[in-house]
Amino acid sequence: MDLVYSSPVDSKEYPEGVDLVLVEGAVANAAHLEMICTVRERSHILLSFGDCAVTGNVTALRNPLGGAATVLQYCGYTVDPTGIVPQLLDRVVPVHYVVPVDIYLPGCPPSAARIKQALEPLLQGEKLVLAGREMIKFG
Amino acid sequence: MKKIIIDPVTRIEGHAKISIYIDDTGQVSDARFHVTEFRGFEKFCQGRPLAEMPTITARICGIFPVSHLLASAKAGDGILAVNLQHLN
Repeated sequence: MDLVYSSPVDSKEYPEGVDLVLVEGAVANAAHLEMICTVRERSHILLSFGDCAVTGNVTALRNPLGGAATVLQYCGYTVDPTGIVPQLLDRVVPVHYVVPVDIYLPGCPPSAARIKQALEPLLQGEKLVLAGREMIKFG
Repeated sequence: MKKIIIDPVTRIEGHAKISIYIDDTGQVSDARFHVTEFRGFEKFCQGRPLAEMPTITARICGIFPVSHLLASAKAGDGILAVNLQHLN
């Protein structure tokens, strides 16, 4: 098994032909939006990893405050004029609102046991059955 | 004026970019560190029940949830004027 894209792997670009990708975190800014579309295109199985990716969770707690401009204003920030900091989306959304997701693995965070139970059949190429409290309980 | 952007910044938790501005004499005129993530914890926590704070702030960081959880729990204790020292 090769780990081809992750923080410990210094890859600048998301490679083609990825068999399995675990996506954590919700889609909150324009860079995330672009990234998730690229990831979906170049990956065979996309797994929404963790409550933020599955439901928006804590990241989406800013949605009731209003759109991006309102939230930034509340926090006393202004939009970066150089455009280097990606623009915030007006609503934070879970991954499946943007691209089709193959598997959902909730948890905040998913426990090590849960991750192992999910990854083992996938790495063997078997079908994954997610049922019961140990596998699909949120939080 | 030349601009160099380092993206992504590695060996950190979270995401960031660095921009370096070089003037016509070849000297660095400005350098900036940009944190490219934003969630708004300071604001969306306002108005929520006190007892939620340890669990919410623990989600600030996956590597340091305990520090945030303890800090917010202690802040809550302070607000409620509770002294828990007898439990030690």
